[in-house]
Amino acid sequence: MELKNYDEQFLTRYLLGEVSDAERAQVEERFFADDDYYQSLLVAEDELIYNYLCGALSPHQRGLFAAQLAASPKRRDKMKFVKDLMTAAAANTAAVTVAARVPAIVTPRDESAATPRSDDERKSFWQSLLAFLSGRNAALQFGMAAALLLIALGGVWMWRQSRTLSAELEAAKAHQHQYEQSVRDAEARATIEQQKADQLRQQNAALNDELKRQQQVRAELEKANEQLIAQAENPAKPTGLTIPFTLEPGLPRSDSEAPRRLYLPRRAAQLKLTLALGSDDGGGKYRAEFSTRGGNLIWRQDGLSSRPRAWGKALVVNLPVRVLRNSEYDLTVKRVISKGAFEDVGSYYLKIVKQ
Amino acid sequence: MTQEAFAKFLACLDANTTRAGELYEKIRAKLISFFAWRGFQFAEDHADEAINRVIRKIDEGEEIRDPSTYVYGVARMLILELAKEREKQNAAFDNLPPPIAPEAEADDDSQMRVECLQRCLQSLSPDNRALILGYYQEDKGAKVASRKLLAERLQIPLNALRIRALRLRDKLETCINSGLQQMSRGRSFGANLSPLGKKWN
Repeated sequence: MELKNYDEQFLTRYLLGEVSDAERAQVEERFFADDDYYQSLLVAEDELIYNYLCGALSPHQRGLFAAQLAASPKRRDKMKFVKDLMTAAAANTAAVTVAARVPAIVTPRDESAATPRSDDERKSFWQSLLAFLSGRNAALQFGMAAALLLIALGGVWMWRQSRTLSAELEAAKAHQHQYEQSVRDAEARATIEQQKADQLRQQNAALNDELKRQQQVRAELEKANEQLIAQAENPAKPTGLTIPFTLEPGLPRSDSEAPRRLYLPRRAAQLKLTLALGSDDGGGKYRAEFSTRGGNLIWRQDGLSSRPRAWGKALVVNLPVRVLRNSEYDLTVKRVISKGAFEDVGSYYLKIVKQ
Repeated sequence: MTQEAFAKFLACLDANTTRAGELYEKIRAKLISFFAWRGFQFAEDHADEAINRVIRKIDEGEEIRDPSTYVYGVARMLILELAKEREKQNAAFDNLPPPIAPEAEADDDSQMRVECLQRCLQSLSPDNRALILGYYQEDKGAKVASRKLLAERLQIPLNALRIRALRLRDKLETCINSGLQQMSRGRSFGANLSPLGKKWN
């Protein structure tokens, strides 16, 4: 069976668990149906283990592989086996290297080894070793062979120990790294959760404030509404000040005499005028008319009745201040004789001064 | 599982008993790899469970046209069940405090394995021994060059070298496991070891 050139990088990614679910299913389906493909996966796995032991994987791949090792006894067994094979291969290389150096350290008593030789005369290592071992000094030869063997075995043992220790160290590092990573992840998650909780608390506080504000606004609106309803149901009494003032009719208004002045404060809303009628009050209903000096009627009130006062009869007129300006006015009182017919009963003069 | 049911399963794989046996081994090996590559610890047990389920189906009279595909389907179903179990276990483990240090793995048979490997290597033909030792040299820098050299010396393509190395490795693994078993029973290993590798020369 010949191994085909499958995408080894992809196979390695599959073995390290770096492919999508769909790709993984494709690989599995295929290797169950195709022996070549399965073989290529085994070769890729073998290569992965070899590269891991040689330190030829990237840190990311190394991390993934170490995590898989922890979970897969099967792969650990394979790794042990490849490691043993690599140890054996290294020992083989070391033995050959050490043996190749033997002629250089042979004692000068061995003439054949000590004599310099030309390139043409140079023998192979095995030939040299054979020549050395078949020499005359048997004790020396045995000693050298034993020493060689010991050196080779010692070297192999030390190399193996070093490999084992470094592999264990790597595994421990990978485990520690994994653990630290998981702790870091957990801490990061906790921080995020804490931030979320803080954010929610802030949002909650803001919502509470907004709710309180809305409640206040609502209370104010309800109150205003109630006031409006109350106002609608019970028309408001005039607000502001009511200024009482008494006028007598026919006050002399010669050129030398100024009309009576009435000072109205700014807050005054209504002017309550008490108009003395004199002695000829005939009873009935009255009309009051307020005009400018030019004769423009600015205000009028009908249906007035006279009221008794200590000094005689009087009419009480409530005049809104807003119709008045800083000016002189004439006030005429008329009695209703019949429907639509009036007679003048008195005239009053005054000057308004708004303050 | 009865002997009869197993025979039915083998017959379903191939009419020839020897070929059926080989196919069975192949399917089982693939199943083990499947579960191992999915990260399950007891890959061999799961592989056997998948095969047992298929055998049961065949024994119940179900006709199977393509055993490999069918076995794969059963294995996938089994994976789903195992994944659920694993989730439950993980949830239970999550409630435990983290371990203080990883447990040291027992490796008592290390020395024995090395001895067995040496004996098994000796039982290989010189060419095959040179191939396998050359293939697994540790020098990563020289790896590519040395493998290329090996392939040229054997006059085979690089891919063929890789598959040959893989097979030799499998045979060595079998040889070592057999040796370990013998040694654990107190028998000597290697005295009657038949030379390996001649078949692949």
